[in-house]
Amino acid sequence: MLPLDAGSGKVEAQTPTAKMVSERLSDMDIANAIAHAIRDVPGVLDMGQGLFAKAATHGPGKHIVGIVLRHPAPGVLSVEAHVVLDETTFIKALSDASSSSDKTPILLRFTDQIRAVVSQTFEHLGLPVPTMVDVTIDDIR
Amino acid sequence: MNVFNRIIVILLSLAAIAFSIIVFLLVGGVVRPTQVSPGGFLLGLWRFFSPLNPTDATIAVLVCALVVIASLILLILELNIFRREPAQLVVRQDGLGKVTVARSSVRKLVGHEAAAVPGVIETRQAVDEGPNGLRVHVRVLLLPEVDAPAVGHTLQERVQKAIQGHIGLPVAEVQVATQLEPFEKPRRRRVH
Repeated sequence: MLPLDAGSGKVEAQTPTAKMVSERLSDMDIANAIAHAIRDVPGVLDMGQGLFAKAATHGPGKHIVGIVLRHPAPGVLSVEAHVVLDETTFIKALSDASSSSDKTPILLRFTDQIRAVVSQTFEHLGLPVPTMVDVTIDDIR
Repeated sequence: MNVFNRIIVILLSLAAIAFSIIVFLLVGGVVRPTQVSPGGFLLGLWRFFSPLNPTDATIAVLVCALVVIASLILLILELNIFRREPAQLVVRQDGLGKVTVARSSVRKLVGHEAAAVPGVIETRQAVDEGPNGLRVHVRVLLLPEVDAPAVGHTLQERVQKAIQGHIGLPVAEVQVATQLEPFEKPRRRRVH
């Protein structure tokens, strides 16, 4: 079916919203893509299980551990990522930090990378960047 | 013990305290069984306590007093969970979201930094949250020949620098306790 204004020949670019997202991609698909992307971040050993309750996105018959997607309001999506950092990489970063001029705490460098990766994943999926990205370091091992 | 079990223990403790108070009142003749039995609920039980002779009444009061004390101890222990410090520490909170780190990870960093100080054999550490920053307590097992105050001072500086510089959390104090005797090993639990 043609849109009502098809005759005008004008095509308007639409900014994707979370409502459109839910029509195209499920939370499980999004969480899966984020988890895969985060696992590839140097220094991330695995996704975390959560400290209090199990942090996961649940779908029919399966769940994605370490990623919690929330819809605080219609059209708004926030992400909570739980990660386990690799102790060897973290300690190496500690020793490298003494020679570095960057004064950002090492932990925040890791979490900034994770946030950036989450945003990039949303962009790759053609989705609006989430309003909030909470990152929790569940463990360093 | 999980939250469900804790709630059961709290409810049982409250019930035991209520039961004991009613028995006190019945034995003392302050109330009659019918007054504490709405709709005849537990009327038979309360009637048992009402006409007790002085000896039995004394025993009942003593038993109920012990029950109240035990229940209060259980209640205090169980309600203490709500005052426990959270397992995670907020490192940064801004418009983009929150960054938190598990307390155990901070403890690991403290342990790593402390172990790197020459003369340190083993450490045990605890991290608490205070109004002005983290309060770190480190127990250190030292080699006998090292200068304990100097090692303690080095350790304080390293730990403070590591937490502030590597994690980004403010540190209010670092308390170091040195010792030469090995740490007591945790008891093994039998698994049946």
